[in-house]
Amino acid sequence: MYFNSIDFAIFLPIVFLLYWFVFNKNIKTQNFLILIVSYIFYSFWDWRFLSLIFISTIVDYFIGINLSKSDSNKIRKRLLILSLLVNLSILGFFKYFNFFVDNFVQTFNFFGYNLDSISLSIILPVGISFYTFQTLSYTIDVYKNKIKSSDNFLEFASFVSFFPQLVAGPIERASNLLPQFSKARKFDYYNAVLGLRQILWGLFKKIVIADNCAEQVNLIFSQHNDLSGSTLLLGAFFFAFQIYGDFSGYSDIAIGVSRLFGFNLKLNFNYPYFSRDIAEFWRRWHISLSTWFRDYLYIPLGGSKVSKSRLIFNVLVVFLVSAFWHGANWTFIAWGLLNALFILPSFFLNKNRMNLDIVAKDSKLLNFKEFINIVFTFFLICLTWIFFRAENITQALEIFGNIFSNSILTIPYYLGIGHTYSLIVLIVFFIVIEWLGRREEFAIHSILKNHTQIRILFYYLIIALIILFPGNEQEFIYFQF
Amino acid sequence: MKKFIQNIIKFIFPLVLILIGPIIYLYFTAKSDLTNYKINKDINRLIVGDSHAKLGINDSIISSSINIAQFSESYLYTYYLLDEILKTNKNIDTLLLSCSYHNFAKYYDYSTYHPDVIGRYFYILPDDIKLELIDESQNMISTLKFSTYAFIENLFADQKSFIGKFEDFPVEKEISEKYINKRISKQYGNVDSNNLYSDLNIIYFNKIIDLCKKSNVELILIRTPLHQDYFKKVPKNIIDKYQKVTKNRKIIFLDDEITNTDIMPDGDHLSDQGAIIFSKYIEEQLNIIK
Repeated sequence: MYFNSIDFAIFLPIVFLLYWFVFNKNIKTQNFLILIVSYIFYSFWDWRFLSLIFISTIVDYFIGINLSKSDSNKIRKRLLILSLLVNLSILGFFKYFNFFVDNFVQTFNFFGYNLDSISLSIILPVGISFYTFQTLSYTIDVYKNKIKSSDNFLEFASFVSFFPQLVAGPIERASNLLPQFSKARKFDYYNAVLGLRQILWGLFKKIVIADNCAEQVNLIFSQHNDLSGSTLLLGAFFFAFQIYGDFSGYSDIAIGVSRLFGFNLKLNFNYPYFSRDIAEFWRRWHISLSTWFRDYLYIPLGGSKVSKSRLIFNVLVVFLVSAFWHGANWTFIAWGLLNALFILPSFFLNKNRMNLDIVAKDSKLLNFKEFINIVFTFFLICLTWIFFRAENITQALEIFGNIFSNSILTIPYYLGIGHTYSLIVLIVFFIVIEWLGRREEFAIHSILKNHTQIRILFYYLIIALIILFPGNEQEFIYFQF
Repeated sequence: MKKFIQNIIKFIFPLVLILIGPIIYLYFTAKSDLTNYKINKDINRLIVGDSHAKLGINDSIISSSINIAQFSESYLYTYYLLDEILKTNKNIDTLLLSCSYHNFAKYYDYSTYHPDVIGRYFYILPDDIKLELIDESQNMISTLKFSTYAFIENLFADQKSFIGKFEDFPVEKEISEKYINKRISKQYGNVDSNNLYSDLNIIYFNKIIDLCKKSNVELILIRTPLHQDYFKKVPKNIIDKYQKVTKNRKIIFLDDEITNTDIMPDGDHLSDQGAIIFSKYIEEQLNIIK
C-alpha cells in the first residue's frame, strides 16, 4: 500500500478513527491495533514476508530479554552474534544472494573455469533493510547497556512493525521509539495539525516533484547515447530532485502519519541540498541511516580520532557498507566510493564540521560564498547520483564521458523536453518554499503562521498543484532497498 | 479531537465541492453528449479507427462519408462509441474501420490505458469499464483529471473529445532508419515473446464485428499502406496474427511497399498527399464492392 494511493487514503482515516475512538481504552488496545494494522498494511505487498518480520521480532525480543538477564560477557557476546547472524542472514539471502553468486561465477569464468550461474528468482521483501537495521540497533543498544530490554512483546512487536515507517524508514532507534509505546498517548491537536501539514508537503514532494522528474529522468537516461553532456547533466539534476522528493516526501508522510497517532519520529532529511559541503550534506541526507552507520560502524572503528590511513579506511568502509545497504549492484558501490572520495579532503583539512547550522540561519539570503559552495556541492552530489541511477557501470561511465565533453556547452535538448518548462517552474517554487522553511523541521511547518486565511489558501494551492500536475505514479525508490 | 475533526471537515468541504462536484455532474450528464450525437442524414459511411484512419482517410474524397477517427483510439473505445452512434444514426450502413498490424500488438493495451487517451472517452463509458480503466491506468488522479478537463471542454466546444475528424499530417518529418526503428520499437518492441498481442483489442475487434452484424452495417477494414522499410520490420508473428484475426473480412489495402517519403513521412502514417491518393483508391474499391 503506497502512501500516495487511494487504498491508503481510505486506510488512514479508518485506522485513525478506530485508534482514537474504539481502541482508546488503554495503551494495550492501542498497541494491539497498531500491530494488526501494521501487518495488514504490509500484507498489501506480500503477506508471506510477514513471517520474516515476525522472525526478526521474536529473535530480537528474546535475545534482548536474555541479554538483560545475563551478566556473563561471553554469553552476552554470543547472544549479540546470534542476533546479527539471524538478521543479517535473512537480509543477505534475500538481498545479496544473486549478486554474490553471479560475481563468483563471473570471476571463475574470467579465469577460464566454466561455472553455470544458479541465480534464484528471489523477491526482495519490501522494507527488509529498514526493519532489520531497526531491530539490530535495539539488540546492540541492549548489549551495550544503553537501553533496557523490552519485556512487553506487544510493545516490541509494534515497535518493529510500526506501519508509517515499516517499509522505508526513518530507521528509528529503540531509545526514541520504543518508550513511546509504553506511555499513554493523548491526542494533541497541535501535533496532529502539524502531522497533516507534513503529510501534505510529503505528497507534494512525491507526486508533483519526484514523479514528474522521474518521467524526464527515464527519458534522458533511456536515450543517453544520443544526448549532449548538458542534457545528461540536466537528467542528473532532475534525478537529484526525483530522489529527494521521493524519499524525503515518503519520510515526511511517515513522520506526519505518526504524529496523528501521537508518536514522534526522528528527522530524516534536513534540507540536504542547501549544504555547503559534502560532509554537511551527509549530516542532512537520510539522517536515520547516516547516524546508524556513524554509531554502529564508524565510531566502533575508531571514528576520526585515528591515523590518516586508518581514517581513510574507516570512511571507505562506512561508505561502502552504506552503498551496499542500498543494493547489490556495482553502481551503488561506485556511488559510495565517489562520495567517500568527495568527503575525505574535508576530514584531512579538519573542515568536516565547519557547517553545522542551516545556511543563512540569521539572515534572509545567502552571501556569495555560501551560494557558490551550495551550487558546487549540489553539482558534486548530482555527479554521484549518476552512478546511483545508472543501470550499470558502463552506462554511468558513458554519461560521465558525455558530460565532461564539449557538448556540455550546448543547449540541452531531447525528445520530450517541451514538458520540462512547467517542471522547472514547479522545482523553483519547491526550492523557494524549502528555503523559506529551512529553519523548521519541514518546509511548511510554520509557513504564513500569522496569516491564517492566506495559509489555508496556500494549502489549497498545494492540493491544486498535486491535482493539476501529478507525474505518472512511480514506486517509491527506497522501497527497493 | 472534536475541534480537529470539525476543522478537517471545514477544510475539505469546499475541496469536495470543487473537485468532486464536476465529476458527479459529468457522471450523470456527459453520456447525453454521445446519445445526442447526430450525423447528417445524407451520410451513410462512417470512418472510425486510430491515427491511421484520422490521417490517412480523407472523408471529403469518399462520397457520403464522415471520418470520426481519433489518435490512439483502441477498439474498446471505438466499440462503445459505435454502440451508441449506430443506435441513433440509422442512416449509417457502412463502417470503414482502420485495421493494421499494430492494432493487434501488445502496445495497444498500454495505449488504451494511458490517462490522456482514457480522458477523451471516460464519461461516456459504462460504469464497469470506467472502474476497469481507473484500475488499469494505475493513476486515478491523472485519469480523473484528464477526463474531467476533456469533458468540461466538451461542454463549451463544438467538437467533442471523443469524436475525431480527418486531419493533415501534423509536422514535416524526415524519414530515417533510426526513426523507423523507434516507431517499430514503440509498437512491437518491449514485449516478451509470450505476450505479443493485444488481447483487449482483439476482443473488442470481434465485438465490433458482432455489433455491425446486429445493426445491419457492412464492415470494411481499411489497412492504410506502410513504408517499405517499416513493413519489413513488422514482426512476422504479428502479421500472421493479423491475417488470422481478419480472415474472411473485407479489407481494402494497398501494397505495403511504398518508398516515397512524400507519401509516407514517418513509416506508417500517410501524408495529406498520401491520404488523397489512398482515399481515391478507397472510393474506387467501394464502388466495386457496391
